[in-house]
Amino acid sequence: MSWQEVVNLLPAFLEGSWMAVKLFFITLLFALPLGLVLAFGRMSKHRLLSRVIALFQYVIRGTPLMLQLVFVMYFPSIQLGISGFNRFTAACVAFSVNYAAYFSEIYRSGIESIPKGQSEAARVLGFSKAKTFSRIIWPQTFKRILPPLGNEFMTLVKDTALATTIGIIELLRVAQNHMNRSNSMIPIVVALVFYLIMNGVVNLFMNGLERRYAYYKV
Amino acid sequence: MARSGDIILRVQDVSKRFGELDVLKGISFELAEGGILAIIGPSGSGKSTLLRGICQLERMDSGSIEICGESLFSPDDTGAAVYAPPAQQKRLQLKLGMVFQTFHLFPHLSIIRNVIEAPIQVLNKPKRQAMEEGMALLSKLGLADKAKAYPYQLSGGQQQRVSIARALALNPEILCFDEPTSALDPELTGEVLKVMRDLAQDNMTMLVVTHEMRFAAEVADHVIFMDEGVIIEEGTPEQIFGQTNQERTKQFLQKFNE
Ligand SMILES: Nc1ncnc2c1ncn2[C@@H]1O[C@H](COP(=O)(O)OP(=O)(O)OP(=O)(O)O)[C@@H](O)[C@H]1O
Ligand SMILES: [Mg+2]
Repeated sequence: MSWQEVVNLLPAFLEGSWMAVKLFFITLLFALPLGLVLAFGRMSKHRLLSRVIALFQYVIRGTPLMLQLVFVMYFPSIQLGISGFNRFTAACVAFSVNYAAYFSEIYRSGIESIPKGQSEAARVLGFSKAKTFSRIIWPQTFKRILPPLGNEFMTLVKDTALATTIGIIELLRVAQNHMNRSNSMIPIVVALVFYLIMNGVVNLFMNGLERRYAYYKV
Repeated sequence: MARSGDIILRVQDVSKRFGELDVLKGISFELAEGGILAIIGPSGSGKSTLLRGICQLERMDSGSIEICGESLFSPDDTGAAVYAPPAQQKRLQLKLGMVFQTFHLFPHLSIIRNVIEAPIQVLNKPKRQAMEEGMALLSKLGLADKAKAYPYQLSGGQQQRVSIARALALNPEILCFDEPTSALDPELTGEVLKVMRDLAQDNMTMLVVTHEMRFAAEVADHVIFMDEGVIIEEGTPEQIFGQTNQERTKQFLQKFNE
């Protein structure tokens, strides 16, 4: 392939990346809060609730995201005989639920790693449960979970390639199409570079956050 | 009890068990306003559990506790503890300050924020007023220059003094200490004990679980010796440290004199 041909590919690649970026942000928008709700449920004193959520986490984390995508995409139409989600919505639903399950375990282990003395000290000072969490526990948890969250964010960037399973045209699909058409590996290399750039941005952002919270130690 | 005022803490026949283990077996004592009560006793005798019961970090099973004339809990017909309504519990919580063995400062907040967070968040004090009062407290404890530092930048003795300032910021009626110097290097215990002596001078009511026998002897006006969940003996420091005729007290104190 000539350089000119590579340049001609770029609009298609940018469009594929845009799909990945949209999926990335929409997933975070729903999965980050949903994960926290799940973590609270999992840590609840209500035994049944905690068990149900543990089972949910097990199912989601124990099966391939690719299968979950297919399930969400085709279950409504095939099993219920109703028109289901469009492809992109199906991908957003599957990704959000999947990542919420992972995030919830990160939140939970982070919250549980804060020494009990912190909430006890807050309690004797008269903090309500809500304020103990928002003012004392959460800021410390947030700092601790930044590294594992960063890992998940990078994985999410790469996982967006799975959306191709349900026919979404994203970076991987674009690259494969052009590889077949041109009988060249260059489109694949270009796709690799695009993923690296996206994850480079994620990396910079997470490092910045970690630096921003470096002024105290937990 | 020796010093001035009315009884502000009344503990009666309080018991607590953890599973099979009877940790407190009918503890009763009183503390008068301005009084300083030291609780001593071997490890596992239930001292911390008692303090945690008074500060509502642990639910007691039976008996009663009264703080400033209000009941925290009292026994029903069967003797089981029935707690006051939540609003009253919360009110009584604020009458007590607690200083922990390992400080438990909030690591993400600067020293001054550690001190003013509760006045602002819990008492809804205006930030400026809380700040002024907090700085005054820090100055009093010799920590004014550390106001903007973070807990990890302070020595253990300094951290413990901050945790005392944090408790004092809510103007508690009674300040409880659970072995406030046990986690400190020997050369750092002095500065914390000095602060406690100064508080005693200011007539602060204090309930101190301690292994510092010299401190208990000098500063407390009443001493309780506990073992295996019961009060073996109580009296003035002279009685306990001078002329006890209880075999268990003697044995316990002997270890500290070696
Ligand atoms: N949450 C708990 N669950 C079960 N047992 C507990 C709990 N807290 C304390 N205990 C037990 O209760 C007993 C009394 O503990 P406590 O901490 O009150 O003793 P202590 O007098 O403060 O001892 P130390 O001088 O070592 O601090 C101990 O045997 C301890 O193991
Ligand atoms: Mg103890």
